[in-house]
Amino acid sequence: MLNKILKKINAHLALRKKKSSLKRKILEEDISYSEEAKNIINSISKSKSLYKELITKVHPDIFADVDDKQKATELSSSITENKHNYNELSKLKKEVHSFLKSKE
Amino acid sequence: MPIKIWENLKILLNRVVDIITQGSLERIKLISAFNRIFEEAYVNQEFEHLCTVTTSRGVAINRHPMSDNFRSGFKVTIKSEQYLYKTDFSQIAKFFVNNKGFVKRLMVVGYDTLTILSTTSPGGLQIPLKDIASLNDYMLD
Repeated sequence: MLNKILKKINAHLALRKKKSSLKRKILEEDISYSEEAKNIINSISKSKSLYKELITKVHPDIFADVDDKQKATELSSSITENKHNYNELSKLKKEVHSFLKSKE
Repeated sequence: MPIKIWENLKILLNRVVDIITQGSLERIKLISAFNRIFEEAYVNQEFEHLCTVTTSRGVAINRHPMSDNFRSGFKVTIKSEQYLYKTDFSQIAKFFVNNKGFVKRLMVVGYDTLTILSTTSPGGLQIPLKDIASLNDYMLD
């Protein structure tokens, strides 16, 4: 009986430890809550126009070369995936610009 | 005036409960940051609605391994004079749920339900966070 109780307590403590280490790991990420909130506001007000700007620039049909088409397809799908996330779209904007610059 | 006092008392009690149940100030920091940024955005006319964020009761079926036992809802209240339709709520919800990193952070501080409500319109949305992001990679189950 006592063994069973001790086992349960041990299991509970192990789970608790796991939970707190997970919590620390996720909360240690570099972005602050204020930045998260700003990202949501920017996403609401600015992501639609940024999405449109980027998606037209890297439409795969614009490119004739197979490799370029492939890269454009990858970029387009990332842009669509992050359609409502301004921070991610801003990162992709840099990638799009460097891709287009390499074509000049 | 009595309404204002009651509102402030409710906020204070909410904070105390958040600290006790979580054993940390994480929720307080999160809610304060969001309320400050939302207010600034409304004042600077970056967003047409004033939103406030609070902790609320969650929904039992949305529980996940990191859920808080008592108060596990992350509630966004839109203080708008306009009537909001279900599509408006989902439109706003998209910007919260498309950020998986943020959803994971909500989950580790004990939230399991994202609730979006309006002060003037009935309805609203309740979204289970476990359907958006998963903590399974960390093998907590």
